[in-house]
Amino acid sequence: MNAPAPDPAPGEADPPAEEHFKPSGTIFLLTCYVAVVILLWLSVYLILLSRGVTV
Amino acid sequence: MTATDTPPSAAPERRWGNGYELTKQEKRFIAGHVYVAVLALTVGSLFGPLQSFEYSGIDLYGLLDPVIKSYYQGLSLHGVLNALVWTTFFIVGFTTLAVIKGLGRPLSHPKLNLAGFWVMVAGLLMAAVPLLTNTATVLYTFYAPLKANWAFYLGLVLVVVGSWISGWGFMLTLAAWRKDHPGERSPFIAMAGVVNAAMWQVATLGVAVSILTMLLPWTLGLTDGTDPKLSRTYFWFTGHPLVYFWLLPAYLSWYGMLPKQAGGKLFSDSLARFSFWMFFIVSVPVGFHHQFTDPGVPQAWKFIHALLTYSVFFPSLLTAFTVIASLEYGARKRGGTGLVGWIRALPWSDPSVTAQLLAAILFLFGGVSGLTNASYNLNLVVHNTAWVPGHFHLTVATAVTLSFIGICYWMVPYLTGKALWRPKVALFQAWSWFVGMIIFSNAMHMLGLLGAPRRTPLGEAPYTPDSWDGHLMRVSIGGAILLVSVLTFTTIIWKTARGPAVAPELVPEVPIAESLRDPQQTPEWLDRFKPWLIGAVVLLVIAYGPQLVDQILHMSLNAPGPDFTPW
Repeated sequence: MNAPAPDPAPGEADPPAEEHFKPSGTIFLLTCYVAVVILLWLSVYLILLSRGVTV
Repeated sequence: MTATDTPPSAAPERRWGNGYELTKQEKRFIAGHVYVAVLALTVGSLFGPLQSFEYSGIDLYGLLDPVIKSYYQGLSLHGVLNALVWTTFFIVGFTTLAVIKGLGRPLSHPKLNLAGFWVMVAGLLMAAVPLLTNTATVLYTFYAPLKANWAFYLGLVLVVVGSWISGWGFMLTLAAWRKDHPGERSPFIAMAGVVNAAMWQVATLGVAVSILTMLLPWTLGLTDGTDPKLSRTYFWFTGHPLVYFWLLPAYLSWYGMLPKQAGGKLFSDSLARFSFWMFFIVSVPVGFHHQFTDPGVPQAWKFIHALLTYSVFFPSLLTAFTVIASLEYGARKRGGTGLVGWIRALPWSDPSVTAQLLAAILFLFGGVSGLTNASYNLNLVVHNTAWVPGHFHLTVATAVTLSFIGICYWMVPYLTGKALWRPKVALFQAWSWFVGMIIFSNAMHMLGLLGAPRRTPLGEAPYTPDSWDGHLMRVSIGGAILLVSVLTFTTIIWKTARGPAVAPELVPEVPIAESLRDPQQTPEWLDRFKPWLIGAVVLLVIAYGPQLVDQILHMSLNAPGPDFTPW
C-alpha cells in the first residue's frame, strides 16, 4: 500500500513521493462500482425484455 | 442587509488560508442567503412527509384545509421550495463565499450582488402568493398546459434574473482578479463557482424564453392558447442542467473543501477543472431525454440527446475518482490502511464531513438510476413512474441537499462566529437522513419498476395491487424519518445562529484544500473560459438548434389550458 509521507515541516516543499501517490483503494472501489452499474442496468434491461420488448 | 460596500477590515479578525478574512458585512450578506434557503427547506419539507404518508392511506391534507387545499398544492410547494428556492439561495450564498475566499478579495461590484439578492427575494415573495392561494398548483415542473397565475411565472423570472445578476458579480470579480494576476491559475473554488454561474446563464435561457414569450402572455390573456410541446422543450432545456446547477456547488465542496476537512489534499487540480468544463459543455444539450415519450420530437433527436446524456457520465466518473482519491490520500495520512480499510480513518465524528460522505455514497446509486433514465429503451420501463422521484431524491434531495447541510455545519458557525450547536445531534441528523432516504428511495424505485405512477395520490387510487403495499408503507416510514431529520437540521441551525459568540479560535475556518501538485502546473487551457464557451454554444446549436427552429416555426398556440382547477 502506498501510504503517503508524513507532513513536511512548515515552509518546506512537499516531498516528491506525495506527487506519486497511487490511489489503489479508489481504483478498487470504482471498479466495484462500475460492476454494480452494469449489473443493475442489466436487471432493468431484463425487466424490459420480460415485458415483451415493446413496453 | 448590506453587501460588501466597506473595504476589508484594516485589522482582520484572523488570517489564514489565503490570508483574506471576510468582513462582518460580507458574512451577514452570505448568511442572509443561507437563512432564506434554510427557511425554504424547512417549510417545503413539511409537505414531503404528507405525500409519503398519503401513500399508505394516511391523508393529513384534510387537516390543513382551507390553508392547503390538496395533495397537489402540497406537492407544488414541496417541489418549488425545496428544488428551486432552497437550492438557488444556498448556491448563490455559498458561491459568494467561494469567490471572495478563493480569490482573497472582496466582490468587485458588491452593489450588483446586493441587487441580485433582493431581486431574488422579491421574486420569491411574488411566487409565494399564488402558491399559497392554490393558484399556482402546477408542480415545480411548471410547463404547459397546466396554467398558473401570472405572478407565479413573474416571480420565478425574478428569482432567475436575480441569480443572473449575482453571477455577473462573480464573473466581474474573477475578471478583476485575473487582471491583477496575469499568468496565474485562478484559485479552484472561485473558478468552479464562476463556471457554475456561467452554465446557469446559458441553461436558464430555456425557461426565460418560455415564460416571457409563451406562459406570461398566455396567462395574462394576451394569447388564446399555448403550445405544450414547445413549452416542454423549453422547460427541459433548463430542467436537466438545473440538476448540474445544484450539483456543481456540492462538487466544489467535495473537490475543493472536503479533502481539507478529511486531512488531505485535492488529488488533481487539472482533473477537477477538466470535469467542471465537461459539465459546462455537456450538461445543457441533453433535455430530450426527459421527452423520450413525447410525440412530435423525432426519434433521431431523442437518440442524440441520449448519447449526450451518457457523455455526462464521463465527468461524473472523473469526479468520483478524484474525490475518492483525495479522501483516500487524507485517510492514509491519518493512519488508514488496507484496500478499503482506510475509509474507517476518515473523520466520521465530524458532522460536516459525515453528511457529505453519506451524500456522496447515496449519489453513487443515484448515478445508476440516472443511467437507466437516460437509456432510450430502459426509460420506457420507468418513465413517469415512482422510480423518477426515487432517483431525484438521491440526487437533489441527498447528494445536493445533504452536502449543503454538511457545508452549513461549518459555514453557519463561520459566518456567525458561533459554535455548532451539539455536534453529536448534527451527526444523528446526517445519519437519519441517510437511513430515511435509503428506505424512501429504495421503495420508490421498486414501486416504479412495478408500474406505480408518479405525481399521484396512490392512497386514493383504486388500482393499487397488494404487491405495492409493503413498498408504499416503506415510503411513509422513510418520509417520517426524513421529517425528523430535517426538523433536527433546522433546530441545529436556529440554535447555532442564536447561540452565544465564542472565541475566534473555536470558530471553524473555511476549509480550502490545497492541491497535491502546484496548481500553476495545471495547463492554461483549463483556466480559460473562451474555448469552453465556444464549445458549449456550438454543441448547443448542433443538438438543439434544428429542433428548436422547427418547433418554433410550427408552433401551435391551440392549447387553452384547463378552465377548471382539477384539485
